[in-house]
Amino acid sequence: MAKTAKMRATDARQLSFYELLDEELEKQQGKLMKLPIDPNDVGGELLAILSKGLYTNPLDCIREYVQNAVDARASNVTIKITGNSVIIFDDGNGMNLEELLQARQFGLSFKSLTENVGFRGIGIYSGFDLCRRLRITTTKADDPYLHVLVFDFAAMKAELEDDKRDKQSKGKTSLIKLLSEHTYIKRESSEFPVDRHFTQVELQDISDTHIKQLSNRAELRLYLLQNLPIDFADDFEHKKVLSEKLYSHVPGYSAIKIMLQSDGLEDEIVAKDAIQNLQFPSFDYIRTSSGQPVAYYWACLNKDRGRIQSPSKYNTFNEYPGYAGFVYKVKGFTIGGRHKLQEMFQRKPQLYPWYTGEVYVIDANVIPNTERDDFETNQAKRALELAVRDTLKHLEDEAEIFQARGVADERIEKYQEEVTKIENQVVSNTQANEYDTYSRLDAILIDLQRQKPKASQDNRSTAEDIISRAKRLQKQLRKEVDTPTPEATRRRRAVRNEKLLDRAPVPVIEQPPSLPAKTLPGVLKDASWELEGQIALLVKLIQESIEDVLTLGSPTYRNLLNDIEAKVTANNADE
Amino acid sequence: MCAYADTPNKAMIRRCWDLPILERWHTGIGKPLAYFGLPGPEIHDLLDWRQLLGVRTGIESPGHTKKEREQANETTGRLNANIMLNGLSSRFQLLRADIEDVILNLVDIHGNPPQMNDGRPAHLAHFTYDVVNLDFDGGLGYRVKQGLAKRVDSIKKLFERQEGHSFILFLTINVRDTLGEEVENYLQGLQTRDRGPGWHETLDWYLNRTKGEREYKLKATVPSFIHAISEARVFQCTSLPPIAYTGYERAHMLHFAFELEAITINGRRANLRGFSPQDDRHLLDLPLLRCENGQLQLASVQHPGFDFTNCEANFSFLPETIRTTILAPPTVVQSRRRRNER
Repeated sequence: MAKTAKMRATDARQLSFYELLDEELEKQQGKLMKLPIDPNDVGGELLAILSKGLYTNPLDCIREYVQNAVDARASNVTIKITGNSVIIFDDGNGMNLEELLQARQFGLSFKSLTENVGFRGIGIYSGFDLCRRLRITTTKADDPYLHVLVFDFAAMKAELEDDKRDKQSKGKTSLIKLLSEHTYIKRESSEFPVDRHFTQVELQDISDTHIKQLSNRAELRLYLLQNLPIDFADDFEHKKVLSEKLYSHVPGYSAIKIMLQSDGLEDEIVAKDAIQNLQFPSFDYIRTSSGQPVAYYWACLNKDRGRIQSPSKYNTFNEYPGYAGFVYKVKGFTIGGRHKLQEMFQRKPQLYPWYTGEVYVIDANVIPNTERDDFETNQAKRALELAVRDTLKHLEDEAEIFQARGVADERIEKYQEEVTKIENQVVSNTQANEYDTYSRLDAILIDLQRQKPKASQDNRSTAEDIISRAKRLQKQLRKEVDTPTPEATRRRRAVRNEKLLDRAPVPVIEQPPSLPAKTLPGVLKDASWELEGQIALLVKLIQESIEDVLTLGSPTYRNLLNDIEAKVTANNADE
Repeated sequence: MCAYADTPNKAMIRRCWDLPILERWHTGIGKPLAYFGLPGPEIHDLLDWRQLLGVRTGIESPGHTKKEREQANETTGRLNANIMLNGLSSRFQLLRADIEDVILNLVDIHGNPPQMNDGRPAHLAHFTYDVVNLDFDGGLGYRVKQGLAKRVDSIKKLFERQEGHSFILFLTINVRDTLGEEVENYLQGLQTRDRGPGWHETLDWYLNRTKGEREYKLKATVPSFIHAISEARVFQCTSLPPIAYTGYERAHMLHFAFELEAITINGRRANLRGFSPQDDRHLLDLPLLRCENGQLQLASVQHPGFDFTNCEANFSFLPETIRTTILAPPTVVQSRRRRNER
């Protein structure tokens, strides 16, 4: 009976609204009119649609609450998983009653685009699909009270389900009614010192499937490292300089320490891992053609001239957060992955993983999309991408120079040893063949002339020295050949008979590949091998390992890939 | 005031009685104690004993009726907030279930087991907690709808779960319970034994306590019961004097403490049974303490033949000041009552 009365009331309202509108349209015929909307016209289902649509991964929900903590200037966040609850506790500014009421608003945000990360005003509802109940406890410094805000999501969901089952009432529960009837607030006196400030978000009674995923420590750690503004580990070599630069150049930059606590597991502080053998970082603004700064970057090259290696503490490849390459950050939150910027290394893509770095977007007009995998398409985004492309191109050049310098330095060191050896042989007249030695010195001289300009400053003078020594040796050898002494002839003959001289190979000068180099996944794909899951990862890993050892497109690399391709083709034919 | 509010008496017992017991135990094993119990939303025990505890598993009932469930949700939120705010979250686990169910079935309503379990199947799993605090609001005879005395069963199961691992058991119960005549039957059962001169008279005295003096009957029954079941699980049990006190909303409560040593032979767990240093006579002769107005003292009424002068040995572990307060002579009611009874 009550339902019928309710329906009648709704009909009456609609009729009245309809009549009014009809009347007004009649009066204003031919003119465009503003069409008012009733609060009851916004259905409660909107909450479910947004929550389920935007936060498909339960870990995204954790990100949303940590994001609020970052916006509240927290420096320490604890994520505790106990039983079927997740608690996110931060030492940020906390909220007083007014701010808490603002936080519960739906789709309204008072946060600044330049200073804060969140700005859509729905993050607080991200736990809707995940848990049955959300409890927020908070206090601000100097606030004598604690405030507790509770969302009974289970009751909201039950009401929406009822609406769906009851066909006659189709979506009758409005968003306002849904939120009003199942949101609670209470005030408590705080027993803590008045300067205590914090916010605690507790997601209670999370479904078994979701809590299982959240309880996976490795997965959670990986997600946090890949997505949140995690601080550098204390043993990160360049932590101090990078932190100083980022805090002073990136507005709203904040790095947090996250403590993970789970039942039956040791506590763990999540921090950006220290990576061995990094060069001193380069950092600067990234500017548009008009000189407007749109981003700030830092980049470190691997001193070992190879892919940035994973810290040994990770047990499996899947646990490793992957620090090789660059990533976009907005106030420390990751947008997209490290693969996103890889295409900007066009000439030498193999040099991309030699870097680790981050690009902090500071142009407030570049807005991350809700999934945080890209930016919203607009002019600012395009300008950013162009500016980043230029900067990364420059970094690619730097990496190339670094690579060439490394090769040159290595060669100069090697030649130094070799020339010293030849000098000893010449002095003691123990070289087997003057012609071979002379030719070898020739090759060394040619290569040294090439490597000298690429070498580091110290090694350039060394190269000069080697060049003059090699020339002197050649002169001496020529003299020996023109007017040999009997004693020298006798000794050389003896040596020639006893053993062959070690012949250092003439350095191979690598030619750039005329065609794009084959890759292992490409070869296997061409052979119609289906690579999925961990096998695909393994193949990728093998490819990366090959690239660490061999230069992409070098003759040895090509031979290896051709060999693999031949074997794969033969195997296919056998089958 | 809420249902889980602390009282001065309860605080006194935690700090001046339980804490010294735990300190002695902690010194003995030389590592932080693993806790399993009912901390309540205000986590008074966890706060008072924080220096001694390591791993902690707290249990909070999810409630059975809609109203209870709503209350329980709030209680859990408050408990978690207190845990986080007091910096106690590390190695703290909260399970949601009746504690009896966690002990009996190993898991809470979400299927999560206590963290200090050996990973074996539910019917075999053992716990390795060092302190178990069963701080019940209700009585020992709490039964489920089917009539099973779940609380008693879970206490029996607790010794099975803890078998091989020494621990302290704190047991707090309401004097009002649904055990009915079972307590009297138990005491009558004890009467069939002969434990020397005055044994039967003393038991008679306990059996004749009036309805308002039920704490005496329980004081005589519970330690004996705990000894019996713990010895069957190869523990050597030491009962400390029980304390009667007035709890929240003037509830008559009784607090017990037991030290349970798992018996080993040459480093290996014994299998037959444990023999406690206290026999039936010792247990019956234990003094009853009272905690009123935040003061811990010997109860003014003790059983006939109680030796006030020699009971000091029961309190040797306590600091001097507390011991002196406890042993301050109570108003001697015992002799007059005794005369009347005769």
